[in-house]
Amino acid sequence: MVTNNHRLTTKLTPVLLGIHVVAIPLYPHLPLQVLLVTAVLTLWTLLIISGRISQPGRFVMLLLTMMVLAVLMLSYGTILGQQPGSAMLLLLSFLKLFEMKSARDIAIVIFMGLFLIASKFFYSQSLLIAIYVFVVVVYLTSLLIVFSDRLGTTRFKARMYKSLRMIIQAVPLMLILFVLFPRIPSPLWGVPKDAVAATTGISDEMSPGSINRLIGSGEVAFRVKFNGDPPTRSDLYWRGLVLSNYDGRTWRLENAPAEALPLLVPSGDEKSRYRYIVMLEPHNQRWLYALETMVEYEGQLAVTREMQVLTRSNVIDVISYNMRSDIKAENRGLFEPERRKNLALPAGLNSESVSFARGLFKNSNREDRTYIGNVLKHFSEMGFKYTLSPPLLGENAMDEFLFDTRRGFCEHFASAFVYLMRAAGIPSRVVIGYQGGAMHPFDDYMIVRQSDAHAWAEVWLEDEGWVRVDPTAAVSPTRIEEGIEHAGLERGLLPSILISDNVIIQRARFMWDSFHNNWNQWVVGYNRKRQQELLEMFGFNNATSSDLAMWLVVSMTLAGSLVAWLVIRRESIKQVDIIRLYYDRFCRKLERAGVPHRSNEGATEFMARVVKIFPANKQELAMITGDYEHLRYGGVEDENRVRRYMRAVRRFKVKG
Amino acid sequence: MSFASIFRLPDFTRQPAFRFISKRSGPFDGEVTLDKNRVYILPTKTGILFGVLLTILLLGSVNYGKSLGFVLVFLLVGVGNVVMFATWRNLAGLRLRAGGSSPVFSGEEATFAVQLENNDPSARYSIAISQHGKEYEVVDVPADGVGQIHFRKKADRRGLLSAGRFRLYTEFPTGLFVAWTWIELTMQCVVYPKPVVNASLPAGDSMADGETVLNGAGLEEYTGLRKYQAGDSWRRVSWKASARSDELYTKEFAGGQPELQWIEWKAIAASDAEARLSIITRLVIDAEAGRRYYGLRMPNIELSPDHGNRHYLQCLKVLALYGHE
Repeated sequence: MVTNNHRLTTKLTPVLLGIHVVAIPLYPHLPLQVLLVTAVLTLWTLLIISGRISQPGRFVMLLLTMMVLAVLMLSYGTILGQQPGSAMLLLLSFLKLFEMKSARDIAIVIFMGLFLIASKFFYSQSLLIAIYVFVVVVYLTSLLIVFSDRLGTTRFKARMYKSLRMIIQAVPLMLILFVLFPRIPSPLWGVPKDAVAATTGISDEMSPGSINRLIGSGEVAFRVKFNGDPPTRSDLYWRGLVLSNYDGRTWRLENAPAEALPLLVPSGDEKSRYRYIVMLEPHNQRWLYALETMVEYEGQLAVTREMQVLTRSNVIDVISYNMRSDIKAENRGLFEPERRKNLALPAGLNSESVSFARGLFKNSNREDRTYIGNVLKHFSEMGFKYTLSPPLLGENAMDEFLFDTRRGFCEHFASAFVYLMRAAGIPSRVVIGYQGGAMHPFDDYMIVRQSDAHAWAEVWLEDEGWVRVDPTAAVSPTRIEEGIEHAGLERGLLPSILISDNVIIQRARFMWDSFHNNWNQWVVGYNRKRQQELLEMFGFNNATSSDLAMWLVVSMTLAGSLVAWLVIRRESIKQVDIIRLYYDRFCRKLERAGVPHRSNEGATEFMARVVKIFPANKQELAMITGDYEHLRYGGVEDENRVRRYMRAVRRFKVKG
Repeated sequence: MSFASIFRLPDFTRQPAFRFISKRSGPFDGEVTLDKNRVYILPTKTGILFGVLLTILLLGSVNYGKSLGFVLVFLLVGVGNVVMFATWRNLAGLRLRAGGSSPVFSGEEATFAVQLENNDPSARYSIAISQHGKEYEVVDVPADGVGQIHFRKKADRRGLLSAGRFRLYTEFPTGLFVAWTWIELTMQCVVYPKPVVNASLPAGDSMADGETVLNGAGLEEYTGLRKYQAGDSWRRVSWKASARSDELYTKEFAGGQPELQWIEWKAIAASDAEARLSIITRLVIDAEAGRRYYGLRMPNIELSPDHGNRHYLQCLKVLALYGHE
């Protein structure tokens, strides 16, 4: 096959555009140097297309490749991994354009584009990304059309239409494969470390301000579907992780969580038990959130002695898990090393707080319960304020907070409370997670947002085990009972979704969330389990992989036949040929004027004959005949010309 | 490239790979419709590369558990499937008709035309023709319209040259698949003998024997114009007069005695029949070029002296087909 090199370069513009379309979502993540190289290579390609410079030779190509690799090494320090890999694919696509020799080279660039697109799924699998990918696939397919159209006669619009049509025809097969293709647990091999988008959410440590900063985010942390009615709001404590180590400023997770079952004592009260499914947004951490106190779970999870639920690897995609919780269950597990840990305080700091705690404990008759009550009373009666903008604290943070500033957010109260407990010899620890959650106004699930992030405390009472105490509730009961938006906090710092009064926008937001939830469940979270559930809905129980394979083959054959029929079928009724119809109309007009069109006469001959009889109409006759021949036999697809032709026929009138 | 040589596909483009394909390829008398069992399809190298890409993407999706990865891969699998039918459809259903071919001299290339008739309401794009692995032309066929595609074949011998089997193929709309057909239509091209470089008539044979009637047309004196008739020499067309109207006009002459010439088989001295035919061909060409009246006397046929294009072609045809009837 002979392909003219010059003609090929003139076809490069749409490919160049294609590379940029593919790369748009990548640009915000690219380092400046890489962006600069991208710009330079784009300009270079444009110069080649315009014919101002020729394609670079082998030596220049080698130099360019080395330069590209060097820039990548400088920017990322490596060329391995997801991000440098994407950047490399992008830059190499340009180089491939430079050495374009045949249509096959273009195909390679297009395929590289598809890889680049696929790498976006590491960052997001949202519906918007899916729509974007669909558009890109339509465009890339239209590029394939450009290069298989060897005479270059197809028009841009026609190509896009053809491409769109082919892709819509591909959807049935895609659906069948998606539903029936056997899913196996991933990963088969490793996942690149940088293959995760930046996430918001609770981190594995807590210092003043760390929960506070989440409050402004209306992002969804997870969604919950209860089997039956949900508990009341003040019982919605979503336990995340337990922080026991305090260094005077920051609370940290115990380094090696012991994976042993805690000693749980269920309440035996059916009314306090709840079954639910959590659909967790990716937070790139190992822990899961569960309603306190979780008593049963499904799947490959681990539960630590501190009642933290862990997955095997970091959550980087939407996952869902079934759980059962008993809000009145007791946790009776405390072992000696744990007791020591949960009493430890940093030495030499906050002496005022320590002596205050000892004094108060003595005044409480060394009764744990009385002491706890007195501490909470101290918070609620001594002018403590719940605020999103607490003052900064110095070295003796606890002293300053308790006796000076008295203004803080939940982390300040939880931290101070645990400090005072430990100072009095009561084992206690900080728990962080979410508190609350709002039912979707017209769907049957609950949304828990980042703004619901919360920190509370747990104390060990010898006769009851670990007991939850939320000091924030003493300061701001409405925070717990009605939610953060009613807690009298600074409204400007809260996410707009919580405080907006615009009903239409709120409604639209919730509709979108509902849609997003379904998308997450049925597309992003579609896995082996969902597959089984779906098949059970159609009456197929316990489908094995080989059953799936069989159904796959059967339905693919059916879908294949459908597509074959769609693509191949002959049009039974021929498309009405508008050009021909108008020509007949034109002939009828002339027939009425006394010049009938003879059946063996071509359009041009006919015109020559008519011109002799009606010379005054010469111009219109020539135009109509010329347009007719071009449009009908010349393969010309020009809408303007069709319109001109039809208008001319309509207005045609014999003169003289 | 070593890569290309490892993955070289069996070359289906030079001749049909299987007997059943050759059996179905004709020859057909005049015309044939490309129905479903005559159009074959396979992925191109690009198509195979596409398959490799899909496999890698699928493995990636399985490994990273990315649902949208599955969606993308399966959508592309679907596209591949649609494209396969679309490519096949771009060729199947086309009606082929044997087109004409102008006679050539032996040693030249004969051009054969094939008419492509598209009865669909949509156009067909980028249909190519090849013979013995060599591509000759790429054409589009408009919706409900007719196109023409040509291929050339070297004429080695005088006589009738059969067009032979050709390959019609297309990669449109994506280049991932190639659909093709092998067809032979009964098409023949007249091949004139190859003229020798120069030859002269043996002396004494060139004069007319007086019996020949020359339609009263002479060459000396210009008498006027008349409408062009087929067979008139192009040299006598009055271009000036023709340019002023839609018709062609021929200049008429009267008086004078045109030079008459008999070209006789017997009179030519040559080693064999082919050599003799080559010499005669040269003589005919020269006679026509020299605006002489010439006749041809062959062992089996005699053409009385005349001139003009029609006579000229008739003589050459007799020479081309000598011994073939």
